[in-house]
Amino acid sequence: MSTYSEIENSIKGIQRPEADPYLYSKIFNRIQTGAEEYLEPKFVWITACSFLILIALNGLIFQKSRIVTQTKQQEVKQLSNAMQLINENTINYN
Amino acid sequence: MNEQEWIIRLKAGDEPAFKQLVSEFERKVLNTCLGLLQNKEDAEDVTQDVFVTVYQSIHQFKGESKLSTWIYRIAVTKSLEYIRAKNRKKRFAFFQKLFTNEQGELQNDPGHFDHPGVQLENKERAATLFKAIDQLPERQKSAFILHKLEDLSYVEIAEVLKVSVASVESLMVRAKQNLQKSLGDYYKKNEK
Repeated sequence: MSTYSEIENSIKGIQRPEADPYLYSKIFNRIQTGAEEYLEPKFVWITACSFLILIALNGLIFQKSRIVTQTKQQEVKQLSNAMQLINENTINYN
Repeated sequence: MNEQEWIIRLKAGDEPAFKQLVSEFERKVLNTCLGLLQNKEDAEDVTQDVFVTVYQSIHQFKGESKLSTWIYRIAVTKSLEYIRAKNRKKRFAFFQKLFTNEQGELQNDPGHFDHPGVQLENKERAATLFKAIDQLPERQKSAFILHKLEDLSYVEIAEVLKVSVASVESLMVRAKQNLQKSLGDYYKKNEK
């Protein structure tokens, strides 16, 4: 029966295995084919941030336009009341 | 060409410099991956992946450590990621088999690993040792492989694993204790 140190010594002076002779070609091929798919993280972040800003701007503009429409409707109502444009003879279609 | 010039050329996308880097480190990376993965095909695949990562991320290398340390770090990280992915697949296959009631055995046993660099008279003992190494926790396994297979000092291992030298010493002590324990269990089983 072997002791632990005997077993541990079995890998002492272990030789590094020979690499595949075509390793470099394989790596270079993977780099070239992967280059089209690979996007730099910086580019990904910039694109993501641009989209977020665009969405936020859209939301902001939409909200502002809603406030403007509401204010205009109120103004029209006030004006029509003031000018007595609505009376009992006005047909309400709503 | 010194390391600084080499890094500048690599960052500029110089192909001969990259070719030189591959030929300088291919065996070191392959040996590290092979020790961790214990499968030649997987180790070759991960070795390719390591160099592709080196090529794509060289501009992120700040030169705070040696180039070799950085490459060893990528090799260890990629190998451990590969093992985790493989284990996830195994777990998924196990559950799939449970629910689909398929017949056939799961290949959970890593089998007999024969490192090509071990001397003939040591093959059997080395295979036993590698089987025990495979059961170690990730960090202990990485430290043990880098020290025993790649002959890296504790200081170098500490830089690769981004831990203190004291932590590496502790990892090595625990790794040896765990190996002694699992090899002891192995003998008990064989005696019966």
